Amino acid sequence: MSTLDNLVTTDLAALANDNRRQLPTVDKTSRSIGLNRDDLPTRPDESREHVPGELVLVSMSRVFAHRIARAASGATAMVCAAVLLIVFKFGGLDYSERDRWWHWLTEPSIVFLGTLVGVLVLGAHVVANGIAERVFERSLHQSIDRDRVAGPLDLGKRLIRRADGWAVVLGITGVMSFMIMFGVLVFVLGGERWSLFLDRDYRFGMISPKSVFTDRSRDIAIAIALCLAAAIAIGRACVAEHRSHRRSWWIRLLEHGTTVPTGVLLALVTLTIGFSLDVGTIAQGSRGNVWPSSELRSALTVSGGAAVLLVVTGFTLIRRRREHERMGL
Amino acid sequence: MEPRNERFRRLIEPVHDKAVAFARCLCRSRADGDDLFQESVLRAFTKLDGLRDDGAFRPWLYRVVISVHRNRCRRELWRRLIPFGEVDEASEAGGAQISGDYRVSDWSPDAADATQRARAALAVLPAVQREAIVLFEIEGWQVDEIAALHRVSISAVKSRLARGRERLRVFYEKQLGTAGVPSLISGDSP
Repeated sequence: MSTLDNLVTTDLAALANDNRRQLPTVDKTSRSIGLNRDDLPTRPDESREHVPGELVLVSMSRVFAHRIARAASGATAMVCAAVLLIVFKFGGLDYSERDRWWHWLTEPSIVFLGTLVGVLVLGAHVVANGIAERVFERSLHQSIDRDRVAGPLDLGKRLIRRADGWAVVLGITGVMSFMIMFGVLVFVLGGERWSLFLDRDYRFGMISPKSVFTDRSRDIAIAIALCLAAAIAIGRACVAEHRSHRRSWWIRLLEHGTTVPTGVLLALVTLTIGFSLDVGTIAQGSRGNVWPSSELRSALTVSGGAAVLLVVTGFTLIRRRREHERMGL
Repeated sequence: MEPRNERFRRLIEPVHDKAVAFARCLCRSRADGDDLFQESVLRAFTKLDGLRDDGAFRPWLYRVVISVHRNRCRRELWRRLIPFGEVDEASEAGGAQISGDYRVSDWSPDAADATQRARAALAVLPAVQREAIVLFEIEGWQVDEIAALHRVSISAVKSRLARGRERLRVFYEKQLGTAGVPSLISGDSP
C-alpha cells in the first residue's frame, strides 16, 4: 500500500472517530420525531378508520351518479357514431347532394361534427348525473320508509354494483366507437386534416370521398362491433367479480399500470404509419393516386382500435378499482 | 400486540449510534448528517408497518438513510440547475464555509484536520461510491452485506470500492502534490 493510500485510510479513520463524538441520545432522537407522545396514533391512518356513515353515503352517491353518467354518455357517443356511419354510407359526403335533408350534417367541417358530438355527450353526462343522484336519494328514502333489513350502506353498495357493468361496457364502447369513427374520417377522408374535407372539387383526377368512405365503412363496422364485444366481455367479467369475489387474471392485466402506456405507444406507431401513408382524397405531388393496400389499411384500423381499447380500458378499470377501494367493495 | 412506538424504540436502540455516524459520514458536515438521520428516522417510523422481519431492521434503516440522502442530493442538483427557489447563504457566498460545512474549495494541503480532509475528499465521490466506501472502510461492513443492502452483485460492490478508492487517491494527489504527503504522514504540517 502506498503512502497516499495510508494517508487516505488514516483520514477516513479520523473521520470515523470524529463522527462518533457528541452523538445524540436515543431519547433525543425519539423526542425529535414525537415518539414519546402518548397521543400519537399507533398507525398513521388509524384516525381515518372510523369514517362516519353519512360521508360514505355521500361518496357512494357520487360514485353511483358518475357511473350512470358514464354509461349514458357512452351510449350517446355510440349512437352518434352509428348515425354518422349510416348517414355517410347511405347519404351525403358528395358535395352535390346538398338538396338532401341531412346536408347540414355533412356540409360542415369535421371539427363541427366533433364539437357537435362532444356537446351531445357532455349534455347526456350532465343530465344522467342529475337523474342518478335523485334515483340514489329516492332509493335510500324508500329503504328507510319500508324499514328494510339491509341498511343504507348495503343498499348503496348494491346500487353501485348494479351500475358497474353498464358503466364499463357503455363507457368503453362509447369512447371507442367515437374515436374509431372520427379517426377513420380524419385519416381516410381528410386530404386536409381537421379542416373542410368536403368543400373541394374532386372531379379532376381526385379520389371521391364517398368511394373512399364506402371502401372503409366495412372496417369501421367490424371495428365497432369488435369493440362492443370486447367491452361486453370486460363488463361481464366485472359483474362476475362481485359474485365470486375473485378478479380474473386478464382483468388484473388490463388494470396494470403498463396497459395505458402500451396503448399510447401502439397509438403513436399507428399514427406515424398512418400519417406517412395518407394521401387523402386530394392526391398531390408525385405520389399520384397510389394508395396503400387494403390489407395495410385494415391492419391500421385494427392496431388503432386495439390502441384505443387498451388506453380506454386501462383508464376505466383503474378508476373502477379506486372507486371500489374507496367504498370498501 | 406490541405498540408501534415501543417496537420502533426497541429496534433502533442497538443501531442508533452507528446509524448516526453513518449519516454524518455521508454528509459534508456533522449538522447535515444529524439532519439527514432525523429525517430518515421519521420516514422509517412511518414505514415501520412494512418491515416484517425485525431481524432485518439494521439494513432496512440504512437503506432508508441512503434513500433519503440520494433524494437530498437530487434536490440539491435541481436547485443548482433551476435556481428559482430560495437561495441559501452558502450558495450566494460561492460555497463558503458555514458552520463547519467543508467544501472542495476549502481543501488545501495545509489542512491540518484529517477529518476535514476526509470530508472534502468524500464529497467528490458519486453517491454510490461514497456509500460503499463509508460502509466498507469506516463502518466495517463485509462486501456481501453491502451488496445485499444495495441489492447489487458482489462484483459491483467491489468495482465501486475500487473506483471510489482510486478517485480518493487521485483527489489527494491533485490537492497535495507528491511533496505534501510525507510531511502530513509524519505530522510536520501545521
